[in-house]
Amino acid sequence: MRKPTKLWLLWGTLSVAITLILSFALWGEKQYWFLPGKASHGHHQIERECELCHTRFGGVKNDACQKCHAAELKAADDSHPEKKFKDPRNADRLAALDALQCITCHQEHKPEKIRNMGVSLPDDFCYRCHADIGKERKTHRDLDFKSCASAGCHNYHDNTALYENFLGKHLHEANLLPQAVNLERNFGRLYLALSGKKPAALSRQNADHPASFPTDVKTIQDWSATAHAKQGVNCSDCHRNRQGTWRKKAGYEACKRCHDQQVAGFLGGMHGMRLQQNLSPMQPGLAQIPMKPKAAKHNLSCSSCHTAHRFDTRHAAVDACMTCHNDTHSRAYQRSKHYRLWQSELRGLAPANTGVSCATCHLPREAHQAKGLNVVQVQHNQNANLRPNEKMIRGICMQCHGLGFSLDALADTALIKNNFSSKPNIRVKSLEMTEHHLKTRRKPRKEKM
Amino acid sequence: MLEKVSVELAPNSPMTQGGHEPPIIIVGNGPVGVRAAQEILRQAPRQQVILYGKEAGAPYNRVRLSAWLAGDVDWTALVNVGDGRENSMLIRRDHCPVLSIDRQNRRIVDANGHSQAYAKLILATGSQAILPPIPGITLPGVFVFRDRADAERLMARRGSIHRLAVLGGGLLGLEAAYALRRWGAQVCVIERGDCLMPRNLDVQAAAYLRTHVLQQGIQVLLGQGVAEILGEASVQGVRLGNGETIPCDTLIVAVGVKPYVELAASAGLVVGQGVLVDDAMRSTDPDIYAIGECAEHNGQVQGLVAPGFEQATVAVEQILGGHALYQGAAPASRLKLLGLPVFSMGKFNENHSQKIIYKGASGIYRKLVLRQGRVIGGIAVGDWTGLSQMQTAITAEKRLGLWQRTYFRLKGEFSGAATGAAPVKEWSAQTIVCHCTGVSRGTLSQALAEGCTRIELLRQRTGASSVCGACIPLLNDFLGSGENVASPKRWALSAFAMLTCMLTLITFVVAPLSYADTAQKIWTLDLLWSQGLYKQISGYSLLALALFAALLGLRKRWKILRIGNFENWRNIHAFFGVLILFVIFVHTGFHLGENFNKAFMLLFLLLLAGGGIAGLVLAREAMLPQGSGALVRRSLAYVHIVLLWPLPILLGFHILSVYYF
Repeated sequence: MRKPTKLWLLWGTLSVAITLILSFALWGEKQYWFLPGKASHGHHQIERECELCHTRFGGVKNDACQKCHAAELKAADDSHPEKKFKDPRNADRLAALDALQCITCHQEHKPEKIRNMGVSLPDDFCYRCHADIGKERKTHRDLDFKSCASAGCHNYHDNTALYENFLGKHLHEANLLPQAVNLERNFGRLYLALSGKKPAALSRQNADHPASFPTDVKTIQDWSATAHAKQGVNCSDCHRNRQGTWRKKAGYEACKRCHDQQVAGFLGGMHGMRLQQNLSPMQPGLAQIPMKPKAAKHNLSCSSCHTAHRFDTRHAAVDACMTCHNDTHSRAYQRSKHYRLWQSELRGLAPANTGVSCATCHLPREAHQAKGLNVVQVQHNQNANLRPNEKMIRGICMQCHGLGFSLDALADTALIKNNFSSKPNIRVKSLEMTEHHLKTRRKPRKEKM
Repeated sequence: MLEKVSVELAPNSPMTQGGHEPPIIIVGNGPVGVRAAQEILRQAPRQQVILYGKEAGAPYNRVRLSAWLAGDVDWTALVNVGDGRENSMLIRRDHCPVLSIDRQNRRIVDANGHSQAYAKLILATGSQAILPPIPGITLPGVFVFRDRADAERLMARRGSIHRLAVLGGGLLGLEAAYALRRWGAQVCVIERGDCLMPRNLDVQAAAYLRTHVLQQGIQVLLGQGVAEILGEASVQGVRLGNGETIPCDTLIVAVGVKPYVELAASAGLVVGQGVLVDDAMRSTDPDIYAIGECAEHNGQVQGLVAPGFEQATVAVEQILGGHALYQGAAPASRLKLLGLPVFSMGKFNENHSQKIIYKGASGIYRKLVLRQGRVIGGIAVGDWTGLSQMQTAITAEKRLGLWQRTYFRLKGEFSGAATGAAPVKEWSAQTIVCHCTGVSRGTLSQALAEGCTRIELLRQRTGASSVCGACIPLLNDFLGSGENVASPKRWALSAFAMLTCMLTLITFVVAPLSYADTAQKIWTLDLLWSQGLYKQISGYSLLALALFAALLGLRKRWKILRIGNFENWRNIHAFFGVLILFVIFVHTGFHLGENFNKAFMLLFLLLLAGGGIAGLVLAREAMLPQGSGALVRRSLAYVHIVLLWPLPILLGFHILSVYYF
């Protein structure tokens, strides 16, 4: 065979090989080969699962975002919902910024472009529609558009603690409220009523682990002291799966049988989102924020914090966090006033629910109605009240602190770093502005009357 | 006719009398003396020259004496005077030794008792064979091999020599051994040193030579001196230092020569090993010059003909008012020993320098000696067309890069193997064509321009091929081609290629451009590399440009595309390379991507850089070492093509992935 013919054949073979390999990658397991850049802090855990967000030949549709974020937006009473922009009267605004598409503001895979809250637009994007705000509100006349969303004043979606009427109701509150106390969890007490079951309390003798899976005395003892034993939850309730086979380690599916709200929160948050997408469990080593090197390879599950078989929520509230988290905010916690309150409560020196643990703010207790009962449960999705951090104000900070103080504290990044060990150095002017605005608005009304 | 001329002019010539300026006198009619005479007459055709010779008969070319003794050529091939054109101003006094010099009156006295005035005197008295004081050295049957008389004596005896011993493994000894071996004698060469030709070769090269000599049926004894020459009426053998006896009926002593300086010494000139001369080849008397083997320049006496010729040229230029100086050139010896070409030059025996040695099949040995990356000496044993390059490299102390050194080590050639095959007319002007006379290609071209269109004319004009004749094929090649084509200067290609290289480099070096910091403007520059529409416009432009650029490659393979001039096509191709880079800037904003995109981008940039470098090399092809252009061009084109191969598919998947996700 002639040499050129041979070379062409070789080229053809190689080309076909490359084409096949890349095709299999594109249509199969290796889609992440085509990852054009790192995803933002919110999505980096699942960035290799392209089709969670991308539709083949369809880009990223809003539906994909809604799958995970719809409930959140609803809960926050989204200030810029789709329906607002579908209104023809807002057509000019839609032309300035296509607010119907999530990806107009939340472009991914461009780390150089991503700012706080995973926004890929410059900080002054409010200008596109609100350029005239200075005329409407004299108080806003000289403000920089870059400061709209960065100084504890406004958010695009979630303004539950920032809207005018709310601010107006909490104008002159003390830094620390007289009744500074956290909600009392009551899920355990109300569980039987909620589930309609009436099992008897169990003791050590009742432990029903099979003979082929012997266990030590300590495990049994730990279990027998828990609410699980008191509520009739036996070994097999967790260790036997739905098919009836015994499993040495009960996964989050077992917990879910009773704690579905808590597990849903866990799977929705940073700790469980990989499990939610059927990926390997999250490990601290994969995180973007500083973690302790020792903990890098821990697989996160329910029992990572709620150690089996004691399920000590006090351990889960602080010590469990500290085994992994190593950022300045976490490390400063043990020098903070919040920690001292927590210590006092643990030692019995202070009333119950007056301590402030990591979980108090990041895995907070939330009250809601179920079967006519007022149930207080822990929200295990730490993101639900973390970004933007003003989300934390209404449900958490204001359990103990006044609104003004809370706004100032959360706008002060230095204060967040030292875990609120000093007083805020920033004064958010929202309250003054609201007060001024309310006064100037009421006057003309009076004249009319 | 030559004899007739000399007979006519031999008596006292009236032309030297009267009010005329006295002539230039050359003492010694060996090759160097004759060259000096020719050179004078060439440069100053009206200058009277008298050439004195000690030996009987017309001047002859001593270098080829062994060829005559071997019976390879007849005597006419050795005769060493030009045609009749010079004769009116040249008086030859053959067989007429000069006895004394009267420096006060600037006259010489010859063996005929004739006194002759001179304006300038050139001593080219050469040297004489050394006869070491060994017992029995005066026995009949002991010969030296130096001049025509020696050769004739050996010629007369050649048929009756059965056992020949040659004392001395140098050039003359080996040549005599070889010549007489041709007549059937059993020959044994006895050399005191550890190797043959210790002055001209290193140990390894000498070992190759020894193998070759042995193959000719000549015995070689190394490290042995002769203690005594045995025999009563005539030579019957020699006894070596270790007591061994070698029987022989003839002994040729060729242990070396010493400069003939008696004439100069008796005239009161300062004499060391030879007649001391300065860079102008002038002795301590400003009117007396010394050249060739009798001259000592800078402590060195040159034993070969080529430096002698150079000295002759310098002396003549000086005498005629020029400013040429003798630099004491790196001694080059290019010899054909017993049919084996052996070349050595410069400081080939330096121990503390880098050596690059190549050993080829069948007795090929080449060595380069480098100091600080520069070639300072070299040896080559065996046929080689690259000798000119080696000589040029050593003369110019050329710097060899890593690639060139590796290439020599592996291939035994200077990079660009085609050198030998390259036509002589394309050699660089400094490259030596005739090594004996040191005539370069440039000199030949000049002579050609002045009308020397045949080898004979070139030989007369420049001296090329007048000595060993090995360069005659090269001269034929040179004349066969005619005009000299200047290599094209590809300015456009050069500029585009340079731009391509620079822009590619910039892509790697420049930090990714940042995105706009404000949303208050509707249009910002970063939209070019972040907004879908613009990216599609620039992306498909890139695709189109790449396809057009690829046409060049297709043109080489598809006859349909062979319209227009290839150079223009290539320039446009290079221009597209530059354009592509600019569009890449717009498409990416210097964000080179991640994963698949990054691999694709890097491959594309490598392709562009490779193309840029290839373009630069092509544009500057004339500056590459002789003949290496083709090789470099081929390898660069190969790299360019290999990088191109996967790109169409990667490009396809890049576009596909944009719409897929």
